[in-house]
Amino acid sequence: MLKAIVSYSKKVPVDGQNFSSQGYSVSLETELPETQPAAIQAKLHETFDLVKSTVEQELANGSGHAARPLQAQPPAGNQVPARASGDKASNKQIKFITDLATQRGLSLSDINTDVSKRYGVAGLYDLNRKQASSLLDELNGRKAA
Amino acid sequence: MATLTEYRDREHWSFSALNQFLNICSLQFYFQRIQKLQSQFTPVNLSFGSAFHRAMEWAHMLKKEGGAPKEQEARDMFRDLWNRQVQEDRNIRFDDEITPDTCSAQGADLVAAFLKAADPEEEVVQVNEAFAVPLVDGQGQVLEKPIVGEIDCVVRKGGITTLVDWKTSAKRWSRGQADKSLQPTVYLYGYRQLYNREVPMRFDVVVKNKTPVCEQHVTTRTEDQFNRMVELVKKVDAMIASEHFLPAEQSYWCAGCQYGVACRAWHRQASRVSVKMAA
Repeated sequence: MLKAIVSYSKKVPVDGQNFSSQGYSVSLETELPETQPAAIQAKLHETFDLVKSTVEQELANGSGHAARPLQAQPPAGNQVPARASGDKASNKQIKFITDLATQRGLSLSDINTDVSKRYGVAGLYDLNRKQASSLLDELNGRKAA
Repeated sequence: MATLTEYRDREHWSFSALNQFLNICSLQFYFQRIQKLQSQFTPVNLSFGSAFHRAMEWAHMLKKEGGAPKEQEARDMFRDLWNRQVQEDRNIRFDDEITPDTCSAQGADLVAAFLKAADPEEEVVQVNEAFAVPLVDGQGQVLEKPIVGEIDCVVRKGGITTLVDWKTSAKRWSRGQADKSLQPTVYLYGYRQLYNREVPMRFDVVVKNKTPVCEQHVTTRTEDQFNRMVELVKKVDAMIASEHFLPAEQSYWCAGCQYGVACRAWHRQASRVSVKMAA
């Protein structure tokens, strides 16, 4: 089983103090069940999103505390939290979906037709992150959420 | 379906970006899209084209809903839209011959001529259809940024669906101009991906003669032309990454360019700024 350590850190200025900063960082170790490069990239992308959004949330909440440690577990698509359902899928997610689908011999119009029927959207770039994640899982051969 | 503005929120390619880089001026592309310089003024043709486009939208939405725009109504609509455009754009560059009033009169004439020439049997299926689709090259490699665009109008007659783009032009189009344009390649690529249909595209051009002339130019594209377009995008991407931005001093656009001051100073500045994003 492949293992990956995904980290995100950010430094911000300290209010009222010149030339000083506070750093916030999160590292997450996870196992990658996939073996295909595109699927691995997709999982890394999802994990990075999770780690990054956690740091950003801490900063947005103004907690000023070090980020809480995350429980290391595989970030399956349906477990990625804290994103509004209207949040659009990223270009990377759509690229992975298109890569995987074309590797399976599907044409771009086939993918769009399928996406349109199943999610009621006009095309791939109308998917939200959760839908894209679920579709990626399915293309990777796992049961979708 | 998302709007073009929503699709533009993500990093993307568009016909206008590609056309600007390849056919207008790569340095203008740099000033506008990468350095994001404030333009010195708004070229009158851009504002005029926007108002004309809005008038066409109104007329075709009316047709789509079963109505029929009347000539005087259309003229009034253009004048109203033009006045609003002038207010919105503010810094439009006029001259002694091209004034807000001459534009208002000319636009009203163009819209009236356009509607008079329109085929009443043609059904309007869609107005302003936005799209965003992945770019895939001939070897199946998927590019990270999608291509986005907005089709002015989709019409149908006798079972044939046609994509339509409305244009105003200072002169008549030359033979083959539509066949060489990158715009149909981009739009037909997008439409085919979304609907799995091979359709033609038509430019409905109204020429700004004293008595306006309406022309239609129909064109189609092949798989090979789509592959060529994706290769162009890849090359442009590489040129942007290597900061290949040069002034096109013999471009027809150069004399009226809204980045003229920055352009004239370009060679004197250490303006080789690292490129972090494109298009």
